[in-house]
Amino acid sequence: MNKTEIKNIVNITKFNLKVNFKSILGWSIAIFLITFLYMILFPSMKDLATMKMEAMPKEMLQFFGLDSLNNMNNYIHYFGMMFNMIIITISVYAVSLSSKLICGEEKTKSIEFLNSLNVNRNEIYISKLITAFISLIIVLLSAVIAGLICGLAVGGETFILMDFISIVKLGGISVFIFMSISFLLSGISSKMNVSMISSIIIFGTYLIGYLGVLLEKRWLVYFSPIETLNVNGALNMTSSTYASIFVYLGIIILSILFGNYYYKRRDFNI
Amino acid sequence: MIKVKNLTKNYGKLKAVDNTSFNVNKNEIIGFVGKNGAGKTTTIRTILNMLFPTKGEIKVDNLDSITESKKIKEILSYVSSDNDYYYNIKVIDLFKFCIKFSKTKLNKAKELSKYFELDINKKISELSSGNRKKVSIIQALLKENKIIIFDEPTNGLDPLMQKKFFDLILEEKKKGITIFLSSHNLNEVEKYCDRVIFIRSGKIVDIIDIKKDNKINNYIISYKTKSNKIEKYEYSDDLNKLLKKLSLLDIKDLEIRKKTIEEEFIYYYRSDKDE
Repeated sequence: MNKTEIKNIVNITKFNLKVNFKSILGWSIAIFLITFLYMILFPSMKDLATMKMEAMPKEMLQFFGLDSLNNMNNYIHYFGMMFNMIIITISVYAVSLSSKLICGEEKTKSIEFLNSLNVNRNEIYISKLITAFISLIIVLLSAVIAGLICGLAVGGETFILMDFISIVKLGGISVFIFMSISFLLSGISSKMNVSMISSIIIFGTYLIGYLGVLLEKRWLVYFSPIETLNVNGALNMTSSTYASIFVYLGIIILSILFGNYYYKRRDFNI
Repeated sequence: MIKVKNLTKNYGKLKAVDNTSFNVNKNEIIGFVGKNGAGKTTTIRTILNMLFPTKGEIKVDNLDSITESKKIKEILSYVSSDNDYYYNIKVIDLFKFCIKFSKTKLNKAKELSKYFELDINKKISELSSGNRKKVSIIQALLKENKIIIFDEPTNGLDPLMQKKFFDLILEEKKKGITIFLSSHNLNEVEKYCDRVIFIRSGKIVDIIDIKKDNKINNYIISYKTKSNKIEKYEYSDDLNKLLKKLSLLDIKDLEIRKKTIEEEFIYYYRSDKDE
């Protein structure tokens, strides 16, 4: 990649961020507020949550990845439960943003303008990828900052920064897995409803993971990054957790590469 | 400047462009005329590498349209028939973005905006379709072009702006630029183009040199006799002979005029039996 190509990628990325600024800002504020409101209530919720968890069926706890977390007096455990839900929400945003960046340009025909500039498809694809990556980092950070502020304010002794970072680091990977799958599908064809298919994949894999836990079939759980990389995974890292992270990173890289490969070789759907 | 050789583009079973070949010469204004769905936009989008040809090849300034598309874009600009942009940004920001990919200064965008009476501080969503067309035209003129492809450039422009547009295009031609003009407006094609390509059902049916071709230089003779009989026919021979012939008739009303591109267009499209 030469200097001009890098310059072009930077220019298109900046422009895309500007075009999508309102959506990124809106999602960041919404995610910040949701996380903040739930986490700030931790002191008053912890007893209630423990009581409710005791009353909840085991299957329900498994569904939320809380079966091994019987202590909801612990801020980290409480955050882990919340963060799982937030990751699902951000994943839905990730697939919708990715498909908007690639397929949306073709639907609105603005790709005719972008493509007529002195750029190639590789530069367009990479800049869209970086735009999605930066946007998702911002949205994830808004949840992390809210969790951090509340942890420092109300977490007390149960707020352990290293555990908090582990949960965030591991959980965040799921968002980028679904983003890359959405880029792969958008790269292959923009005729399909990528956003919807990717959302089905998010909830489908989550359900498979849940079934895996319920039926005690561990191999099924690995189909669900959200289930594998949840708070339990983050706080009890085993060799299989490391192996699954390795596989998930492979999925991210391959999806992006294949998405780019097809994007450069297909007709724009205009 | 543009060489299209045996171009075929299929959408599934539909042949949008069917084994089409034509050349666009350097520094000419060439019209590209056909009904809706005739294959004009598909041909243009294939030249611009937005679509891949099913068969055939396209060269622009001897550069391959697929493998060297980026080099082509250094010398080629395009004005789409649709004026679709990012609605939530200002016109000035769009122009600032465009000049990052060329050596042009923002002043040129400002001058062109002034020429076309366009408010660059407005958001694109606030512009009418005519003003959005102006944005499209201006962004295309911001590059150091050798070729500009216009797809329905005057759609939405008022007559004054249409004239301003063509004055500017003629200036660009003087600088040596080649213009490829796809249009439904046959009057403007006849007035400004050097040659016209007729496309029907994805096939080139004719290429006419407006200034030289006999088909366009033929006369249309129509007259009414005193017995109210109306005759109309095409005539291509010596005018003196025609006048002698007409003098023998008992004529009440007479019209002799050159054939128009519109009549040529209707000739090709009056029957859809081949479609």
